[in-house]
Amino acid sequence: MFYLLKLIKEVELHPKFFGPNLRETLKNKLTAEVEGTVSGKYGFVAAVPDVEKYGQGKIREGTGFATFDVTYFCIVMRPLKGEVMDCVVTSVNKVGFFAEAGPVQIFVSNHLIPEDFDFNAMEDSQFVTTDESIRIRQGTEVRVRIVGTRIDATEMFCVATIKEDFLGVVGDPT
Amino acid sequence: MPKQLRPREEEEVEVDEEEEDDEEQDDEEEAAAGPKKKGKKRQRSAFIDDAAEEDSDEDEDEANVGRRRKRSNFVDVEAAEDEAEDEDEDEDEEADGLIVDDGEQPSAAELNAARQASRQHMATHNDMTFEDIDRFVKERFGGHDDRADMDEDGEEAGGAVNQQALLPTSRDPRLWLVECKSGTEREVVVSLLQKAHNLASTANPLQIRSVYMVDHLRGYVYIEAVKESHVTDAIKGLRIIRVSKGAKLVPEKEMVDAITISHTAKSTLEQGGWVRVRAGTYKEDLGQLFSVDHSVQRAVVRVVPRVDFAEISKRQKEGGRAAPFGRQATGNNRPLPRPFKSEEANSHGVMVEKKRDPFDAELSFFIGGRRFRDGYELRDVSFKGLRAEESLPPLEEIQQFNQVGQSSAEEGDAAEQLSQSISAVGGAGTMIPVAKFAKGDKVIVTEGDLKNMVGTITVVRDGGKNVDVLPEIEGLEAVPMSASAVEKWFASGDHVRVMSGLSEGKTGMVVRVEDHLCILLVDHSREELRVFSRNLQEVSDIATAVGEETHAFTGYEMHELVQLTAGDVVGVIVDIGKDTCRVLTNQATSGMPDIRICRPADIKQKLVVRRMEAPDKFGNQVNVGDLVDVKENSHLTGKSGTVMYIWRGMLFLQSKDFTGPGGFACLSSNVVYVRGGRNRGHAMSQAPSLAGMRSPGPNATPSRGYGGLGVNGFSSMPQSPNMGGPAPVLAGGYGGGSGAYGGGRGGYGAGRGGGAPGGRRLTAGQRVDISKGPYK
Repeated sequence: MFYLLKLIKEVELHPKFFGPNLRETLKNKLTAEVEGTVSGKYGFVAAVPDVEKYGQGKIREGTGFATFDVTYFCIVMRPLKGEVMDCVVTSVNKVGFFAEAGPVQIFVSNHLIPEDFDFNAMEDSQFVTTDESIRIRQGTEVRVRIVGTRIDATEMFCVATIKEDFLGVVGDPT
Repeated sequence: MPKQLRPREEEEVEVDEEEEDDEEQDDEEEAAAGPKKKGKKRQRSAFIDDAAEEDSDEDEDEANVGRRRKRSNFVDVEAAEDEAEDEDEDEDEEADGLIVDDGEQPSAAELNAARQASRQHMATHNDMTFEDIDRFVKERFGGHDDRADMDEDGEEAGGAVNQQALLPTSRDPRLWLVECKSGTEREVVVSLLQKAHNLASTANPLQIRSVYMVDHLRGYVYIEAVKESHVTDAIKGLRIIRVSKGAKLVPEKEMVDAITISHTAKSTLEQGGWVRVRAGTYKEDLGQLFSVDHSVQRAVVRVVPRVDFAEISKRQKEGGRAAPFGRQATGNNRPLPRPFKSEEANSHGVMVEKKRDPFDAELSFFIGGRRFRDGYELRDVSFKGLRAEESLPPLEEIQQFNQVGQSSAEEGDAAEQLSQSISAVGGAGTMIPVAKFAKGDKVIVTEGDLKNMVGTITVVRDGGKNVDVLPEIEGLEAVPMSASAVEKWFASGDHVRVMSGLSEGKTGMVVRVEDHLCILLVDHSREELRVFSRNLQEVSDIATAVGEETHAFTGYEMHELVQLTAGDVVGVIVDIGKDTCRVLTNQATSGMPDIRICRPADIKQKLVVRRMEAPDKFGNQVNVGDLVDVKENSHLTGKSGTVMYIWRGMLFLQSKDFTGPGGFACLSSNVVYVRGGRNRGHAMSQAPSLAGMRSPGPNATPSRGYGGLGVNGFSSMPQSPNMGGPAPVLAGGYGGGSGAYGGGRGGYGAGRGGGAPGGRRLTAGQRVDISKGPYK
């Protein structure tokens, strides 16, 4: 799920940028530091659309660097237990398949795939229904429900299920 | 037992007189052959020795005849004495009729009759049902303690007060510790019993009250007596007791401890229990107790055979012993555990004898002195050579163990195996030890009115025996429950840690729950693991391979390059367990990864290689952090990965595309292409690159082409051709890609923010410093 959050961050700036474009530099620096990171508390920071307040800079003794408390808005993405999301399969093996939804890695164990799917390792590894009408292979788009999440410093990992009504393949690459 | 404390000397004298009288009486009676007296005499036991005859005889009358007939030949001096005294007050008690107090010396005819009677009695005794015996024991031993009785009268006090009242006081006989030869404790007890029996009817019987031994205390027995002299008198002349050491008084405070059998000492050695063998060929192997003989302190253990048929065959031909004493294969030299198959033995030319086991007449195989049955080896081991498993062994080991029996029985359904292994560990209750609960554990109630209620533990009391469970349903209060009535409860998606067993310390996410089992997806290796739910504990959503404090590999971390002790082998640690770790080595053969299981001793050192580079298929230099495409490897072809380590032409790659452990693969550097390398035979599709980064084309000469990483006019840097490689997009820079920047190929600048594999990313507008090259 996506959230728009208002957060505060301390940004440090080199004295050579103290000048007319100070705010722009600050915003660039903040964006560079924040975007694309994962925080355990909030999830993946997708974008910084706006900065609300730059705060007053305080010069650090000794170095000349200034620190600014920047209050900014950011869009964060955080998978939640029970959330339904669409994702793209990245790899399939006999214990299940891995999929991606943006920055989130999703694993669907074969215990959480309906029983009528069988693993077929013959022609690229894939899961095939017994009547061979539905296939899950690399590139397949699937709709999953997240049953567990783990958020590390660098990645977000979820275990999901397609063993429920209205879940499963929603689009095939071919 | 103050009643018993009264002096006995007088009695003894009296008894003797009494008995003489009785003899005379008997003679008369026999002559008279009075029917009623006859009946009484017939029942008299031959094994009688009681000093308290006089009481009984005094009030011997018609009413007592019936009672006499029923008397048992089980002898108990003390109890009989009581009985004799109590007779008047308590005729009912006599109805149980199992107490003996006759003390005459019977004639041969009488003895004969008595023997018959005793046989009859034994027969009736054997007919007793369990309940009868239970009742009998209660009647006989329950409530004989007058202090306990007093308590019952006084107050319906709870256990604590009652227990307190049972503690020994200074008025009670004391306990004395007597040293004996180790291993003869039982013999001592029996000898003293015999001695007591023999001397009971003499002028100076043993004055001691009781003798007992405890299994865990070797070389000592306890004797209960009022005076030390009583003890020394009793043990005098017994060869197996160290009389010279005398008797040591057990302090009053320690008396209770002395007879309390501690939980651990109570040796869980019971048939069907799990043990580990302490030494020899089977050292540390899991075994199941096949039969246990406490009297000789030995057990027959079922173990998975470790047999070297070739060796046995050689020995048999030479005519020597199969396994000469002191030359058992141990440690790493010992054969691997495998199910025993007689065909296999025959194929090695080993003589296998198939015959019925002398002990239980079951068909078994014999090789020399070794006994094999159902694929297992049966070994007779002393208790000393065994160690009881404190809790249930880990599931993997039980499975391995059970598979032996199954493979020999030629069944092999995985599901069945699992269910068997679960049933082997006691199914739904009895044998499964109670899990260790902690505050905050989620549990489900398995017994009682609240069955199937899910709740959270709020308090753990009495050392884990009782817990308070706060139901999940709102508005309810915490319920106190016995820990055995609840079980840990997990739902798929929970993040858990394994608390014991081979995988101790690993964390993972529950993907499925089946009865007592949870199937986990281990965080780092992304592999499935089956664990008993009682061995799990929920943890926060932070992943660790193994809690650093628990594993034996201090100083090593996951995904580190290490050198192994064996030869010129290096590898990457891909999994850390409690005692072992798995290392993906550089010894891969024909595309198959070589993963070794290593103990701490197998790892020589951490490898820190400063300069790591190797040529790819076209001679391009591959550096750490580069993204490479695999070209000639059966199962990895077409995949790409980030170079994490390079060691003598072997690359250790990591990628989430790799299904191997930890997403690692080890390949020779000449089967990969560096992305963006010079001599690509074909145009590579260009991945979206960063704003401002323009590739001069794959075949362009590495020259002064100023691609320009224009960063808001702050700085720019020379563009190396390989910079045009598939650079990850801002968000897609995730995972493995960013290494491509950091290559620094051709001595050109490496952007700050690149280089560190999987580390920092470049973003539009980011300021970079050039650390190398002409624009430094």
